[in-house]
Amino acid sequence: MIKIDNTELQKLYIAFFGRPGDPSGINYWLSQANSNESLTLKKVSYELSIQAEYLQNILDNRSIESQINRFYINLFGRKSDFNCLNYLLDMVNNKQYYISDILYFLLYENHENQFVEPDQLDKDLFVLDNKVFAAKIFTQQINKSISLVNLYQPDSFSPWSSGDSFMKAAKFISNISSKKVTVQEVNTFINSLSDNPLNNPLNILTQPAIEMKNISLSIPIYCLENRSLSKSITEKVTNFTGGKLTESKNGTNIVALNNINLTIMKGERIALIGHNGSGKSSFLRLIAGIYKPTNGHIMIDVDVYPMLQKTFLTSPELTGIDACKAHYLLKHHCLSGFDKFLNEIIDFSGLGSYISLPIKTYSEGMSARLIFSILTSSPHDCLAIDEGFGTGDSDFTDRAEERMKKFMDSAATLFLASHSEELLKQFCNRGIVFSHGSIVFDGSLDAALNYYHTHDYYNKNVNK
Amino acid sequence: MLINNLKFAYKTRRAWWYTATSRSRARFARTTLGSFWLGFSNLLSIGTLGIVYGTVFSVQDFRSYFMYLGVGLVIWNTISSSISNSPQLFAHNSSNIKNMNLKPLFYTFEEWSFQLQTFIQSFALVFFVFLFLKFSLLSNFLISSWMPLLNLFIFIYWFPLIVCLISVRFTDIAQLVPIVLQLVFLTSPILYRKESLGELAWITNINFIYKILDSLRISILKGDVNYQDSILILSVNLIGLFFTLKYLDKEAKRLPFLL
Repeated sequence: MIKIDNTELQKLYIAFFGRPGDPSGINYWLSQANSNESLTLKKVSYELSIQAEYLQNILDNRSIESQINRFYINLFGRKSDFNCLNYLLDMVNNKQYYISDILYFLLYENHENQFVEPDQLDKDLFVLDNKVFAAKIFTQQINKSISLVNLYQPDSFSPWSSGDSFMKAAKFISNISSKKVTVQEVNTFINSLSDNPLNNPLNILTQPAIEMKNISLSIPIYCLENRSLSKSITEKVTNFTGGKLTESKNGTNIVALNNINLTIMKGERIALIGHNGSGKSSFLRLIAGIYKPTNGHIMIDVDVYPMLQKTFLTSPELTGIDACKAHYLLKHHCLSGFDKFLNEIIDFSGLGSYISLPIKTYSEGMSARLIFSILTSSPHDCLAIDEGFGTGDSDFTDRAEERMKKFMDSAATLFLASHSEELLKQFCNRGIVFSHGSIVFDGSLDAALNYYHTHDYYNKNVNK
Repeated sequence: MLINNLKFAYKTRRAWWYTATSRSRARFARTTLGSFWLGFSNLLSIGTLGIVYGTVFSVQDFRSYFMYLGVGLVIWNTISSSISNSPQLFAHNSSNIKNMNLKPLFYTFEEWSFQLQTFIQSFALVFFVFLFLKFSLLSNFLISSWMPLLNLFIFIYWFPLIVCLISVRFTDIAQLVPIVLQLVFLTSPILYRKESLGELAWITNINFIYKILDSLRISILKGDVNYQDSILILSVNLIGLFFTLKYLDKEAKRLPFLL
């Protein structure tokens, strides 16, 4: 059986759609192949043949003959020869083959030996290799930046609308012939995808904000009880949540993060996805500098502002004004402009004269209003937000959501850990899926959510 | 790293001084006299203990004994309070330590300035009352006390911090702290004169806390400063400060997990 890999998937994408595979699509099929051993290329070929992109954009009432010729043009840059076309038509008409089977047959069963001269066969293979090479480089380069991933997407999924970048990429691939394509040529083409050179994603997302190499984080459990935890507990009991438990001579450790390799560019907006205890919050604390890695190298070239829990710097015995002043002094180191800041907080939080009362007299909702108003009062370069950071009572929610949106939009780089897909889709474009402290998927948000929701994820990662 | 920490402490000085001031205000939030209670409570203790122990020790000169006891008690209370509060310092700030990327150094300086403010408020009132008994205390304090005072201020930063760091890792230490403090108090000439120890007077030579206390007390009461001793104490303080900050830097990595 032919292995499902990037090369073979690119062949199918080129044949059906005439374009290189988009990173989320390629990653999706690769993850499916990893989790489902019974998945074959024939099945993938069939699935692609019934996708909206093919049915609505390309098929468009074409005859079988036209479809077969399109495969030939997309793959080899020429139409099918007469004998071969008849042979394939016969398969469809008399043996009831699907168009996806025809493509599989065309690619993998070397039928052309019967109809085509060896020279033509070599030429076809050479053209196909060139196209696949260019497609692989293209997808690889696109995958490096979330802005490029977003650029190389259809204009609309439902109803399907292909979009300019898909058509340009298809034209680029169709122009490839027997002349060898270089990486530089592919990069030049990617640069040309953006109309405005100033907005070229290749130019924007070139500065890494955070780089991690082989990062691991073990959390030691410093309590007497853990000394009595027998090895049998750490080894035999299945953990449905949380990082792996390990025993060392010093006691029990939780492997909160394991072998994380990641580059986050300035300007990226990252969704952290995963089950409870998968490592999202530990990751946020790590990039915020609250936790230090146990192993590996981390480079952080941005001020990460954590919003993890609602905590005040001052005692609850003190008033809201004191809390505001402490936060203001910590950020600005002086009280110049504090009155304006305080008025804005009072106005937005709606606390009114309660601001002069001790925080301990506030309801939970009032405390939430105050801390939310304080922390979102000024923009930050990079935010690390945990979903636990709520916005207070329902009356406040609408205003808070609007402010939170502005606040998150103002941050150049954003990390958001949440189980709310709506929230993630609103603010993020790259998704990182965590499981038991490891990154199991990293790609566009749609693909990451798709990966997270597949049954195999739960089987492989949660219930293992 | 040490320089960076000191830069951070300087940069955020207004914030930690303010939060410490807020704590002082919060402590007496519902009282009428507010932080004046710090001085009053000390005066009350001095008055009561002075009469009782002055009688027990058959003191001839009550006026000088009151001043001796008063200054000693105020300094001791500051040192004792700094050390006894220290094991819980990070525990009280655990939520912020786990959720904010503020260096732990911030909380240590906040605690230090809280103790400093408490000392200044306690000492000011007691000192003011003592000026009526002996006005020359003012000139003694202004001329002679700056170095012993500096030693006290440095000591109440680094020593409680090292106790705190050890206590966070080895929680049994926290249980020992009040016992040890009580023993140090009873074996230090604070309630009584050094001469009363007789042959056991040598134990004051190995009691570093007493050295800090006594040098400041003598400088205020008599205007005498043993600069050789003071420089030696300052050297020990600076070494202690250096190693404590290094230790804090090392332990900061583990701190969120220990709380």
